Amino acid sequence: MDPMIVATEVKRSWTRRLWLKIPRELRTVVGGFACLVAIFWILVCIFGGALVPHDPLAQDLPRFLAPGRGNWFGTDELGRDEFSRIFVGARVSIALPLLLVGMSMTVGTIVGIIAGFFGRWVDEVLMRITDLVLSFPTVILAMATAAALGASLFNAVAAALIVSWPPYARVVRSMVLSLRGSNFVSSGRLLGFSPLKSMRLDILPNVRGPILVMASLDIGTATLLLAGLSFLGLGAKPPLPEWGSMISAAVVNFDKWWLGVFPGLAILTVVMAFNFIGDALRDAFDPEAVRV
Amino acid sequence: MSEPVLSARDIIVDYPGYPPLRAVAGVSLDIHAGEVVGLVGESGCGKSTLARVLCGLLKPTAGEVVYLGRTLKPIGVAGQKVANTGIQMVFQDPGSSLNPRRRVGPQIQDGLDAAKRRLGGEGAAGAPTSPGDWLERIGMNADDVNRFPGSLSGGQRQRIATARALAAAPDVLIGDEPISALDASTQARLAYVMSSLTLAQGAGMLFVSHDLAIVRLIADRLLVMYQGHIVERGPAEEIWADPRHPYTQALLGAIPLADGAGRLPAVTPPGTHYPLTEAIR
Repeated sequence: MDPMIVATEVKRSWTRRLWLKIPRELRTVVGGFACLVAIFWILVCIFGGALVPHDPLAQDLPRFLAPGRGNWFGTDELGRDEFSRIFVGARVSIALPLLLVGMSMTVGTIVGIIAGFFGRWVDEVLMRITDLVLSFPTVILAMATAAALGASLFNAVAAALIVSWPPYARVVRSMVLSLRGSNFVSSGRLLGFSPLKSMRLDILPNVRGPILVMASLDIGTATLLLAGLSFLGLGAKPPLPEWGSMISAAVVNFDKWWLGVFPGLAILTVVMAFNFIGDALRDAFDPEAVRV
Repeated sequence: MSEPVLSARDIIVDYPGYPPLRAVAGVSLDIHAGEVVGLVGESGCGKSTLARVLCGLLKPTAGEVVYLGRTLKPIGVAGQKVANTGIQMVFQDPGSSLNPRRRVGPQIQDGLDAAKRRLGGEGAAGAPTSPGDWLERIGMNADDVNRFPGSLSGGQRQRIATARALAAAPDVLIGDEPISALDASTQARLAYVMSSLTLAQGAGMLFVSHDLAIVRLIADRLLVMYQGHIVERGPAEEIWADPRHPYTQALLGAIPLADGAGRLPAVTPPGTHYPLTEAIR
């Protein structure tokens, strides 16, 4: 046998192998903590309704109870249990941003691929529309749209969608422009690929990774945007529990600190968790990033 | 001689600028079935531009490309016409000639599908009918169909790009410096594999390269290109033995010949002694 051993094969248990499949940027303390928080909130989002001690709409408790036994987060101005409302509100305040990000990613990617692939006037028209939307401050445009459509959760999501797809279109277009000139796309064209086939096989798989990273970073922003619209009364309507509108109610009763702090903490933890995950994913997908 | 499969007539290509850059300045050439035409010249002489025009990827400023007797229209947004998929190309950069996100097998299958659509039925007679068979034909393992291009070497990727192009049963294969990014031993082997397989299919081939030493091994005819013009053309051995144009003479003179003497380049920095092991330690 060769006396020089250059590599040894280490046998690893399946749990260890599964663990190593996770990008190492997520295996850090911050990344792991962010994942735990995100998983916690997603579980709450799914099962929250079954876990709460009180009916989130029932107004049978004393008003403005300070946090204590039985009502951990206190009660609000109508005598509803704040803890139950936050848990049930997660359904709206987390699921809708996820839906919003998914939709704006889809719309932006489609627009970006079409603009970048076809170029010329198609590109001009689509990118000028994108510029038009981008030139407005996001929240103001979303407010104006939501106000014009009428206050409801559906309209708030629609308004947020209108303002949040352009960054995706921009990024995807720039990636497609560089991909379109690459040799494998030319080879496909020479083999008679239709534009649709070329986009599906050669373009989309090569823009997917960066776009998913961008989306994961965007979840926090979307959460804030939707909560912001509800805060302004343009989203969730009472009595539906929603974190933004709960904070809005807290502003009126400024001396009852628990009304604002707990929904605020909920938003803070969700946004931070998803931002940390997004950061970690970006580092994991970016070979140039310095690993520390 | 029979009708050429692909010919260029007075191709002129200008790249926009002030003043515009004339990359190709009125080039005509013919490629016949069953012959390998070598196109050599230094970097920037317009040979890659000409290759892109010949396969329809670039619209020439003037002149026309004739494929099987009809004018070849440049590829538009709608993609290459099925009838024109008989012109295939192998590109220079092995890093981008294959889609990094798709397995090798489906990418070769695309070539086979193109042949089926153009020729009808099962595609080219006598050619391999599956990606695995194609891999074996180009000297790789049939199991490699499940690999991604990232796990293959540059030479292997160029072989696969060749297989994909040939699977489309082309009438003419254009190699745009397909070997220039590879190491010397792989270069000659790949050039030989490409030309022999192309000829076995009865197709014609245009082999673009800056390396005259390798091109003359596979080419029947040579075209020497310099600053957008073809300055010399003729049978490969004739040009190799007796170059007429001063540029061709210079090109031939620049080829290092292995004569077994093991000499190093004449100019060495003063005070250095070879081998350099002493200095490295």
